Amino acid sequence: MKFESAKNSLRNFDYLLFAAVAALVTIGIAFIDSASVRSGEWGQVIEKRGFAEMQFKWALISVGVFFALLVPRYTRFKSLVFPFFVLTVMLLVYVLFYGVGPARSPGVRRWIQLPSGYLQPSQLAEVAVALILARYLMYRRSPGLKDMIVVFALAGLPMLLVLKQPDLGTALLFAPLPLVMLFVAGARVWYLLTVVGAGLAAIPTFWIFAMKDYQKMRFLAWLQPEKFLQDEGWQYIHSRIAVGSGGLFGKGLGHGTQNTLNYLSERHTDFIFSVILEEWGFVGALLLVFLYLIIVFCGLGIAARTREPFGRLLVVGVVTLLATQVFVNMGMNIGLMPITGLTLPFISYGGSSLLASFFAVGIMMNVAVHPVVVLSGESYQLS
Amino acid sequence: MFNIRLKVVAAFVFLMMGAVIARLGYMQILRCEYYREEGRKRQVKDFSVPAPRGSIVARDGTVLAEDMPMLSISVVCRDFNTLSMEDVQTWYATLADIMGDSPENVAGRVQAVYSGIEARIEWYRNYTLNSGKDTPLRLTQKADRDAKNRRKDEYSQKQPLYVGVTWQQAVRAEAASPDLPGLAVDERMVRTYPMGELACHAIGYVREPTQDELDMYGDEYNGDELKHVDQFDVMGATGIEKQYNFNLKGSRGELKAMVNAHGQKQVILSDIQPQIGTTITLAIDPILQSVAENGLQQILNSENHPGAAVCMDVRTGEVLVLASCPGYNPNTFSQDYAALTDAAGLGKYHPLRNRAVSAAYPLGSVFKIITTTAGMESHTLFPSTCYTCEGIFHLGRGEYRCSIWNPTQRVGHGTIDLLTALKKSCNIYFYNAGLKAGGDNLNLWARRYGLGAPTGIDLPGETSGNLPMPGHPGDTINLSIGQGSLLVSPLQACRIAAAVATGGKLITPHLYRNAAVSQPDSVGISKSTLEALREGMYKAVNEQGGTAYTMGRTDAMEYAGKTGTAQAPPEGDQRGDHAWFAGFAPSDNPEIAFAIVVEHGGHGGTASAPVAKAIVEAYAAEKAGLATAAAGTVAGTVNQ
Repeated sequence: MKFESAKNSLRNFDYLLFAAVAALVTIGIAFIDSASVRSGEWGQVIEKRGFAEMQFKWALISVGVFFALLVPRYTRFKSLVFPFFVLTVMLLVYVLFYGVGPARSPGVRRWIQLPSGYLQPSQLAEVAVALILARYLMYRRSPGLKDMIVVFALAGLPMLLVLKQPDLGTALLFAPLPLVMLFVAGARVWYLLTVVGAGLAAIPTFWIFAMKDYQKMRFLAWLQPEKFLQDEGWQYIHSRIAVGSGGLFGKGLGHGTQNTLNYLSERHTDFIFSVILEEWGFVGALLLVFLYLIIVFCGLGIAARTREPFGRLLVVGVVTLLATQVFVNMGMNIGLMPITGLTLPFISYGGSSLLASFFAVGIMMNVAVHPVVVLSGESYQLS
Repeated sequence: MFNIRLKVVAAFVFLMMGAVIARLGYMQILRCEYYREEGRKRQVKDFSVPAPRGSIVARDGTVLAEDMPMLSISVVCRDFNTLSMEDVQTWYATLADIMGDSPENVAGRVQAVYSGIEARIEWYRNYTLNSGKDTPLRLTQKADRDAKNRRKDEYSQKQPLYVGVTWQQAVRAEAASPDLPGLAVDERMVRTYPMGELACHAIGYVREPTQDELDMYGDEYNGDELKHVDQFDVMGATGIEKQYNFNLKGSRGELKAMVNAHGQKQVILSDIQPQIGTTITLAIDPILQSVAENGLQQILNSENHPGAAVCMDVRTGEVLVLASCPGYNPNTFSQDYAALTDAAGLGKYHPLRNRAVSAAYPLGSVFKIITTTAGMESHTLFPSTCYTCEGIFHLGRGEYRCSIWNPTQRVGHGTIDLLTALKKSCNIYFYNAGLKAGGDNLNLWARRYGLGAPTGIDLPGETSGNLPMPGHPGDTINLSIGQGSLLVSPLQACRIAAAVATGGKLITPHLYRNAAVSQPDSVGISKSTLEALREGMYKAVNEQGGTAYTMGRTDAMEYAGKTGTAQAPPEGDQRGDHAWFAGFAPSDNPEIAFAIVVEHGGHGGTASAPVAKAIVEAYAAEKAGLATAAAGTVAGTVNQ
């Protein structure tokens, strides 16, 4: 029986999805290597930070976590969803008081200091929200107004806590999650459109009352980088130069001048996409977008194949999280969005970022490899 | 239903990724060149490499001024700013120990660096604000941004604290620098004057450029972009340094390089090497110059009278000697400046004034050369013309005296002819001669000898002196012996002697041997006048009873000259007549002319003639030496 199950699992393992992830991680390590060189005078390398090696180790760990995650059937965690949600919310509250932030921005609290590294509770909270929304929506045939309020409250609470850190980028990821999940769960479209409209209308209020000065500055610098040359505008201008000057085929791996001459900051983390675009050009961008689309479509394919409602909603939630993060990061790299401080999944340097991304595909794959027989026929399907 | 909605989600993701691709297509394919150009603009920087200033050398090759690399201890403010209060004190104390200075002085020097930076920033700020090229608000924003960038720039540069430190001090500072952030040892070019005070007034000195100069020459200097002036440049302040500043200034090198985000050079794209400025070879003869300076210095030391001496080659107009006493040491000029201008000390002699060209004095009896010329050329005076001197001359109610007159013994020169009058410098004789020739004639000939106008020497700040037009006979009498409101510079006086020596050529003196010199004007003196002048001036030096015979005559070389003893109003504790001597040597075939003045020095024959004698003797020795050397060369050739 066990053997049968393992065989079954292997049959349902989505190799294409895994291959796309592996390709992205490999590309990521190559470009982290390219972006970890600090040049001094006369092009001499004054420092080569061991980011690529570190990333490789984290990739091995993440793959391990990924496969470990496939073993237990995901339906077993249904009962743990609520406690997990409560725990992450508590951690988000904790981080507001005892958290630490990047050294150069005092007053920002994002991480919990652990003996070996940092824990970013907001990354746990994203998954927790996907889980709890999937749990809440799984048997609701057509979510009504009351359900919508509950869903937005469940997503809004951690989002507000993350905004308070403040971490606009991560908070942004919470926004599409309830919308998409409500949508696929069968909520009425005009309800959702009303919510989106209300959200857009609230932006001015948000701007005036909630946004910090530095966030406003970043936003203004995004619109007119030339006016903020030395400060916020620097990154916008130089990332755009990196992207634009890459051209069709790029300057070659390790030959990007914006990259190697230290013009880009955060180039191994948030701005690695700029480095890739500079060194691999438009062709590289097509490849990357293609790989991400594979992940998204594989995920949606898993959701489509899954009859069990918790699983398929969960997969849609996780796919939404990944897709949003990819889009926001790419957008800020190419000047479509203000800079918010988000990593590019599977590619950006960072153990916790990599772990979180693998955690997401792990959930997707778990749902894929553990098909649950649902004895309800077509009639059960949401209508 | 679920699957349809999944397809909608998929389509939405597809749309978002499509937006990314569309944007990238626009940026990377359509606008690629624009972004590449934007990148180049920021990555390619032009560096201006300073060029050494040209040297100034004397005619024999002696270096008078040159740029020398000197070790200096500098501060880099950006790193210095990171220090804590206690560390700053340690910093001061350590550097003070190395330099043998007090920590307070070190702190003062660092403060001076900071205030200098702020002053420059402030100047540029005001310049931007007053430019009026934009709206006030935008100008303020621009000025603020520029100030920020400029400060960042200046803070990252090495700002000198001590220039010209010893090798040991530099090594100690270098060793201490890892513990003292912001301390740097570097080498910079410093203008040095190896001969010190020698010919200091002719050479001049350099200073930092003024803001006006930075403004005017910031982009190009007289149309030469490579010679543009920046704040680390020097500009000639006086003398040859100023006159030939453009020639002396080197052409900057230009380095086009790719830089990284921290402004560090990566790859050199093009490189124009800096070119040292033109070497200016002066006609100055260092031996004659030092002889003249020593002679004047001795007078200053023993009798406290400043003076000046000029000597030029009458065949070319090259200035061999241009001495003004007291002088100053241009190497320590800025440190000495307070003392040099202190009216209670050395400053009362105005050491910075170049008396040889920028000061003018009543000429006294040297003017009798001109009175003689005016008389003879107007046929009112002949060598045989005799006047009787009884020591005193009456004109109307006026009373004019001769130099030998004194109230107790009523003595005069007696009845004398022109040559004797020149030899003995009899005033009465020339009162008569001047009156006969007329004031207009005196003025005309004085003008022809070049008085009342600059000589055109290649030095800044030359005086024209003053040449009056006599209105009534009293003025004429005064002018005929070089008194009244007549003012003449030593260089002008030297030119008078040169005109007699050359047979009537008014040569343009010049210091730079390669200077373009115009053909000399002719004074228009007839041969008979010249003969009389030369004869009279010869007698003044070489015949017993001549005004310069006792103190001036030398066996080394026969020369001719005219003394002058000019009445002058007292200045401070200085009183007495200005002592003049102007002449040429050798007397029969003149090669050099000279003029010496000693302020309030008394009699020209006593105070100034010895300096002339020393110059002539040195010249004779040099000539003999050259002759010997030439003979040696010939002999050597023969022997081979």
